Amino acid sequence: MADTDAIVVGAGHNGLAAASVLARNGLRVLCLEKTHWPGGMAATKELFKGYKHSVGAWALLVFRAEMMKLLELDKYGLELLVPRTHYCVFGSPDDAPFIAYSDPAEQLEHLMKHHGADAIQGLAGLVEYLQVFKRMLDANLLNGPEPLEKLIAEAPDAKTRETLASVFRDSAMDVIGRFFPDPAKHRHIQGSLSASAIDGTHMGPYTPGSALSLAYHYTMGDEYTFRMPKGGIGAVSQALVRALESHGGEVQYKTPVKRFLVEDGKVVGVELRNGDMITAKVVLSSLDARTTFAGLLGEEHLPPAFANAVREIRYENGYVQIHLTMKEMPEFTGSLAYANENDIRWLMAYIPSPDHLARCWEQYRRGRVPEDPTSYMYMPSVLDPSLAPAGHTTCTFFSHYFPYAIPKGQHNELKQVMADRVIDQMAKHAPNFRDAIVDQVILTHQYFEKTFGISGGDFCHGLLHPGQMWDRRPVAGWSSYRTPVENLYLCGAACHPGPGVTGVPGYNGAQEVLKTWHG
Amino acid sequence: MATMITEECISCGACESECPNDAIRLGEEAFVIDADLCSECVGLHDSQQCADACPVDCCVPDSSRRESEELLFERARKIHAGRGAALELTASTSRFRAA
Repeated sequence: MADTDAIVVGAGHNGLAAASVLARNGLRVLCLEKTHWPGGMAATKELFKGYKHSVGAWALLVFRAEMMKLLELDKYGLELLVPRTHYCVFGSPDDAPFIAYSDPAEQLEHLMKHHGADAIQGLAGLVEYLQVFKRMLDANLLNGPEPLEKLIAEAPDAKTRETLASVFRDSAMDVIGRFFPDPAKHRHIQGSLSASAIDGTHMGPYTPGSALSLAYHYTMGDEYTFRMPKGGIGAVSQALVRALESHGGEVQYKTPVKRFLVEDGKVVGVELRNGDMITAKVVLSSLDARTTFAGLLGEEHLPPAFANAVREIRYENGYVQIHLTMKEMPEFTGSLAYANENDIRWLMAYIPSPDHLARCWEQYRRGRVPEDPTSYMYMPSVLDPSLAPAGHTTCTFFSHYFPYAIPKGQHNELKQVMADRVIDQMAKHAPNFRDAIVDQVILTHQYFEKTFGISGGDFCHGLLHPGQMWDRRPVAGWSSYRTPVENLYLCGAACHPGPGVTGVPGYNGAQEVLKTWHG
Repeated sequence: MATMITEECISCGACESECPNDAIRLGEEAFVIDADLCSECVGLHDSQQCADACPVDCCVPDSSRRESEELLFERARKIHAGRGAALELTASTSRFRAA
């Protein structure tokens, strides 16, 4: 008899989601985690005494209301804050900053006052265009997706067919340009849209294929998009642990898995790094596909074509995340002084234009630190004062395009160069910025790769490329959360629909197990 | 020299699972390396895996504890006895021989 019904490898938020759903359905569940904390890259940690930083993910940037109920997050104490503004995108002082508001009326007022009717028209047109993709995503969200070719071929009309084909083929700027035909006008709005599009792609805004990531970023969430968990993103993971434990499941920390146990072509359990063996009727991996199949399973147990496809998955995703503690709030001056009012400054994004972003990308692809990197700077403790001592604040920068492959020995020097450029740009607009910094740590994709065991440090578990999404995620033909090896399932961001703190892949992976579960 | 973790440690956890000897534990304030279990990765890697992983460069040589390659290699062999790891002394498995 097996030691347990289900082993879930990895206590990131998707692993925990899968584990809690299985436990709620009566399975004996053991979740095995390499580190000593829950949440993986959705965890909030006290890096500096008295301050709590979310390391990795930091907000529900794409989230669906129904997941609160499906994962019992509301029942187990997750509270979500609704920030008044999502972000304030700036660049050239000649261009009005683009502010995203939670309240539609306030959003409309801002656009009308600072950007004009054609900006409203452009954004409305883009939203309508993306609705075609969203309808398809909605219909295929909570199950394995139907093949893309079939969906396109069977689209109800030519316009739908054309739109879907373009989402999977065009560049982000091809799409954005349809609604913002003048490249010089509304540069911040276009920059903001294109920066979302290149997130997790290793692509530039003009690279064919990047439109898909644009569509994903703007359709994966619903009205629950851009919510801040009270206590940091780790509160999502903590709520999932409470759900799991109250249904009788367990997380074992500091328990790295060395390999899967395979007998007669079926996975029957795991061997831990300390040599212990645990048997289970099913094993679910929330890790990325390469780590799962090449690392823990072994290619010898796979059909050669599948093993090859896993080897070809692309994970290059270079970035930095800089965590700071600050003894006072940055005071913005000049054209950005108004951002101090009502703490619009809690999230400032330096993205001057798509062309600026494209230049950063070209430097990145040549292995150079971008001369003037774009960045997002966010201060979650402004919304949630429990995250920092009174009067102080937590501050984090996220910046795309830190060179992916760096010669050994240059990593630490280059990450400092990147961080200095990013912080100096912000300090130009807030002169007290440098002096307000108390502590700082610079994390790169290399840190995330080592600490969390994710291939390439890619927080997407496989880049958002047309060849790696939908029914091609994690590899073509295997989007059902099952694998070529019996009793082994996937339940992480490597699967459809993809990355983000959504809980959807975890929920779906558990549902796939339950379909054929006989105890 | 065994490797030690200074007070700069931010308890991020990067080093813990990188250590081939399981010598790193979370202490009261920060992570700590059990010096009796530290072989400076001699026999396995040409650099200390904890230091390579650390984002704040706080895994540093403990100058009060200087140890020879021979002694460190012997310690590694004892720790890894029966674990199946292949230990050897080459330019890629000992910082004493690394280019």
